[in-house]
Amino acid sequence: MVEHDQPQVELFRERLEQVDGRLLETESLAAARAAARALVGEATVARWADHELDEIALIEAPAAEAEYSLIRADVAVAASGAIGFAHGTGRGRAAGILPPRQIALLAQGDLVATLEQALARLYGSGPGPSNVVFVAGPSRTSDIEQRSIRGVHAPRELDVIMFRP
Amino acid sequence: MSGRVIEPPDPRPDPAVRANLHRAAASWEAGRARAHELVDWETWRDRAQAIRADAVANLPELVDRLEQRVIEVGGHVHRAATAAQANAVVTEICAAAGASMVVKGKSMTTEETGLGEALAAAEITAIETDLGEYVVQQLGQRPSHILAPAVHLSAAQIAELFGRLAGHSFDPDDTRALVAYARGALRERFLEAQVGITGVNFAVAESGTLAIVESEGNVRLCSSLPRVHIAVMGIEKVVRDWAGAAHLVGMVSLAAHGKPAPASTSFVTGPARGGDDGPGELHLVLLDDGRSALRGTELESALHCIRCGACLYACPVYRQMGGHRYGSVYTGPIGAVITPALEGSGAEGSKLAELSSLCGACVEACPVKIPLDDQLVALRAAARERDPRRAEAAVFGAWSRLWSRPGGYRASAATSGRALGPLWRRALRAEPHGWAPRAPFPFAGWTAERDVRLPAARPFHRRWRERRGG
Amino acid sequence: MRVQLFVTCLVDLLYPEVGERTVALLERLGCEVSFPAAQTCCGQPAANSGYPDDARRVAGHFIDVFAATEGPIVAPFGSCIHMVRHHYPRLFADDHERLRLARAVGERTHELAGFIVSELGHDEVGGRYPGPAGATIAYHAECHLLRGLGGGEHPQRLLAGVAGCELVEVERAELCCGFGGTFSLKLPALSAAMADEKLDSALRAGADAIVSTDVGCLMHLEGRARRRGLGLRVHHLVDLLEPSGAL
Repeated sequence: MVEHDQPQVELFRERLEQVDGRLLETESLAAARAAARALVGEATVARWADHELDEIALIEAPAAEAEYSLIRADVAVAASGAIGFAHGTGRGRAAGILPPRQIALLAQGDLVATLEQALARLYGSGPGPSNVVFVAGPSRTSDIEQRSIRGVHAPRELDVIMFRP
Repeated sequence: MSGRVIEPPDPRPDPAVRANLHRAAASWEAGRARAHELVDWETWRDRAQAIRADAVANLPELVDRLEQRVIEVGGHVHRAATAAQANAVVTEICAAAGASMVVKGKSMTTEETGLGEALAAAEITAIETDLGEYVVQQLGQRPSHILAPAVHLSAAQIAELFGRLAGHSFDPDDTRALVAYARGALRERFLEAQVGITGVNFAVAESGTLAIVESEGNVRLCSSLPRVHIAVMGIEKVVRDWAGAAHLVGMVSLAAHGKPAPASTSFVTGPARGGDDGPGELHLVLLDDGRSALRGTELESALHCIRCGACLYACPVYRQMGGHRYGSVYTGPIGAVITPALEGSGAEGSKLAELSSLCGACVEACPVKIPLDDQLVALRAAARERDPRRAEAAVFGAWSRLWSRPGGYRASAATSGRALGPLWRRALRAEPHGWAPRAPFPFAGWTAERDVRLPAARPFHRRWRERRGG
Repeated sequence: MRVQLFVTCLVDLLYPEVGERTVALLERLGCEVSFPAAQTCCGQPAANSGYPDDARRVAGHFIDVFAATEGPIVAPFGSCIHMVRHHYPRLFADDHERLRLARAVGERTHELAGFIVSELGHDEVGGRYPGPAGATIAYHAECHLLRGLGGGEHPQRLLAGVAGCELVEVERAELCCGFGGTFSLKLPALSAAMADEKLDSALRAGADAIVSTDVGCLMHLEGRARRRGLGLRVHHLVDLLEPSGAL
């Protein structure tokens, strides 16, 4: 199973790195949490309520003040390096965008090949979530003389930590 | 500014913006090369064209379905037959929300309707939050490119503006500091505003979902923090289903930037539900304003446009002129087509169709294969019918009658050969090798900038007759 | 094989030696060349300016002349071939009989370099640069050959076989030179700026001459080069492939 998925993980890594994101592969949720803890250290964190995100943040803070956004990705797209996540209970909008750095935990089984497949996962039956965002790397602009700058209104750093559940 | 046409075009090169335009075009060229490596480009174009053609061919049915789905998930839908109606409904919603300040994501549709001015007239300030749009708004200027509204400005000009706003100076080379200033200045606005207004890239009829792409994150903030979200879209932005929307999201990113996905894509299905703490009110404004009228005409496929901006970057005329000299909201090749097209039987914008050498670079670049060159010719023909240019029509009338007969053609060749005998050649200051710095009507425009090659004393057809007979 | 020469009005009236060299080249390659003497013009100027009735008048004559002939129709000019192949069906969409003839004639048309490479099967036909040896040449692909007909690389292939000169790569070589027919008369400042970009990039690449298959582009670029006093020479492809060609 692992070997079969590896080319897809490698493609995801390549595409994510091309848009200045970073991928950390870990063996388990516990290892993923440890990796996230190491990244965050004592910085302030605005986190979603997903239980996978427990045991990571030492210091929590409101979204408008926190250094880190800590979220759970529901799906990821290998073709583009994008992660997709739905807002909902315990998954506030502000915490998902305001802090300058973002860490997203992703289960390896939620990595699919294309956006079309990712959308099919999120919008199975019924109207689906009221708001879903796909993020491919940090936010950026080239509006000033074509100079590419990361980090405008959404995070300027994105770390995706993948785990095998 | 209201309406698609602001002033007549100024068809001259703009040296002040040339360096920026060339740099932007070079960046786009690199992106184009990447896109061709990432996907089977022609197959992707064919599919994108088919998705857009299906949507426009079935527009009324799909827009009805979209409306139904949006209402089912708790959104409000407002149909606006005209720009004025769209502006009025948006203004009403903002007033009802008690908003004196609203935040706005980049939306060409709202530029088209002149929403900013309409809101200002109702004493509602709409802050543009896209960095380039913010800069352009603060300078009191118009955006000059669909994707890169400030492409005509230098870092120095932006630094100078921010210096004035912030009360301290900025180093134009410290781009990070300039961006950080904009981020900080706009953050306050996002947090205060009652209403966020955005455009829509694609609306999925199947589910009532609005897909909105961006790079900076300002659209997410406009559609997340205020309690009311107003989304304004031209009706042609509808697509049938998720598969189509997914393909087009990829396509717009590939065509614009050579990347497989935009930095961020928001999928909005009605107001916030199920614990989502986003806006409790969603209003979708569906603008027609000349779009339906194009269906069934030669210009219908102009509605397929996915607003990627590729044709602007590919166009050798836009490259020299820049966007402002078009004098219209939509510039570049697509602007030169849809502006007069949407104006319909009015004459506004018909001069835009002249701003092309018909080189076809736009057609080649277009991810949905709109035949812009053929459409420009059709628009020229329509303009001549509506508003004849007597002298030009007379010249072409005489020319076509002469040149549809071999006798007439050869007579005009002989006449010009004789007429350009020694006297004429002296009057035109012709060089011995057959070039002159001056030409008579109707060719005088030529010699404003170039020397002109004179007709040969013995054209080919005469040489053939003399040497080969018959 | 017998070919019908479609000389084109610009070559006929302004660059007759290009016509002569075209005939000589085709004959050297084993073709028997006929010249339907009643031909005039393809009608493109009227079509592009928005006068389809006038274009139809002239195009109708073109169709009548060439429909009465047989065999490939060859022109040393991509833009005119593109007009016949791509635009005639649109111009005559409402005239069933003319449409049929237009399509039949259109199918027989070929731009010269494409004809030599694809139909006659030659990747090179020799030739010599008509000037001091060791020249550097820049190839300018005419827009309608490059994009409309998809044959932009055929002239380049043939140029590689020409003695006495080297091809050099030019930045943004695919950009339109700014001729565009009536565009050059109506929007002269833009047209000249586009010529300048083309000329300047050729000069930066060290080119001594620009070579193309479109005498419209050539007279526009040469006219601008002369006005600016630039030493850059400008040639049609056949000037290099068949420099001493004559009728």
